[in-house]
Amino acid sequence: MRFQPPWGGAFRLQTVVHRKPEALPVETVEAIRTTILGSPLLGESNLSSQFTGTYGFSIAFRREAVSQVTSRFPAFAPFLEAALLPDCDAFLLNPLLIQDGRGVEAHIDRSLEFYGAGTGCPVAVSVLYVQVPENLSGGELRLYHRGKRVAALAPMPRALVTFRGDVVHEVAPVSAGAPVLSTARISLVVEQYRMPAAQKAWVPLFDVRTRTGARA
Amino acid sequence: MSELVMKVRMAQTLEQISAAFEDPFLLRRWYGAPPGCHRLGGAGSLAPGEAFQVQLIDAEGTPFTQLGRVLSVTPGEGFEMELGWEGGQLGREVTRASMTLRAVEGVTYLELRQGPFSSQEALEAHQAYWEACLGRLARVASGEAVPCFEEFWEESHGFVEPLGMAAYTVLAGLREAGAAPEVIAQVEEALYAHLARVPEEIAGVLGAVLRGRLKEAAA
Repeated sequence: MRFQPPWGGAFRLQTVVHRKPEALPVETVEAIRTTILGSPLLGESNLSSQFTGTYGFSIAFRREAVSQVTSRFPAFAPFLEAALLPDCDAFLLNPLLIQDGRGVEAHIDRSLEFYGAGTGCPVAVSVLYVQVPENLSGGELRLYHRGKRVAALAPMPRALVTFRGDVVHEVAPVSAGAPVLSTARISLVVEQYRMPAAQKAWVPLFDVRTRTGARA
Repeated sequence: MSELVMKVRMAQTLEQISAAFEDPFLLRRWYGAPPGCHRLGGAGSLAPGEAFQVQLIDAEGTPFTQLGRVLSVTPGEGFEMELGWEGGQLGREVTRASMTLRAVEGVTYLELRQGPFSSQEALEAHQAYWEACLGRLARVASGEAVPCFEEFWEESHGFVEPLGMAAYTVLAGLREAGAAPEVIAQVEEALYAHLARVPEEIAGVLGAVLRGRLKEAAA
């Protein structure tokens, strides 16, 4: 195989994050918001302990099943079109809803390790800000590389943020502005993995999971 | 049957030492790897009663695992745990280890006890193990960015194939040597622009040479 630019061509060694403001049209993001809030799958997060107190559900899928994902969740299609890196082949998509008093503790995403140990971290993680309450206080995305903070991004409506999968990150607790689920800080996140064939075989083609174990 | 007892005076405060235990991204910089080995990752829970595993490789790249279970924790004072190994050179027996921490006039006294060991060799191997870990702990607690295999491993995940790995090693090496960001950016630009034009057949041969040289060096 020929030399390929690293991180899907999206990052340099000293670049850990990109932010594209107003990445998707208002109506597209509104359709995503309606889909998330109206989903019967929505419940307490099924991700790692750092997500305790947040809400969401997760969809693991391989590149060849993108059409299944968009068929089941048509509103998510423009996001996937805009966010997926060309040389990634396995993904974990999850809406993330954070209300007042909650945040996400520092972690590195390794959500696909649910399906098999050793899959490691993703190449990149992309986040679309779907709902940012006007009077939101807190909820900043903070990125750390080798122990140093390298970025602190306040949520911006409709912005698409992509950061390198090897950076430690956290969401600062939301202190005000999101008292109930319908007014929560809502983002749609996709972890993007590139996996050796043997490990990719562990990842289901398309798997929807919730905390209560509902699968579809 | 014998017990390992180590008493170490650490120049750092109890708060600094405790932070290096409690922050998982500091913990992985010092805990787990015997001398000459590297920590690949950890799994499980450090909550009392829960099992944890630390994945490691030795100097030849052979994987092995530390298996443990924290039995009890006294916040700010220490903990007790059960330890064993699957593979590696530290034996197969499961032992109990306790660590107590005591703050005295701005420094920390650490006492480690582990055993019982059935042989002097096993005891000495564990003494060397803890000396390596506690040496790194002191540096991490002081705020030093002790080279961490896991961190470089995760970062290098963005690069693929032998030429990509070679490029990563050069670029990360420049950065760790303190090269100015603009110098790294220039080298990066040159590498990515030119390596992408190497014909696939030549990239394959160069990759084979790199693999062969690395195997030769390891042997």
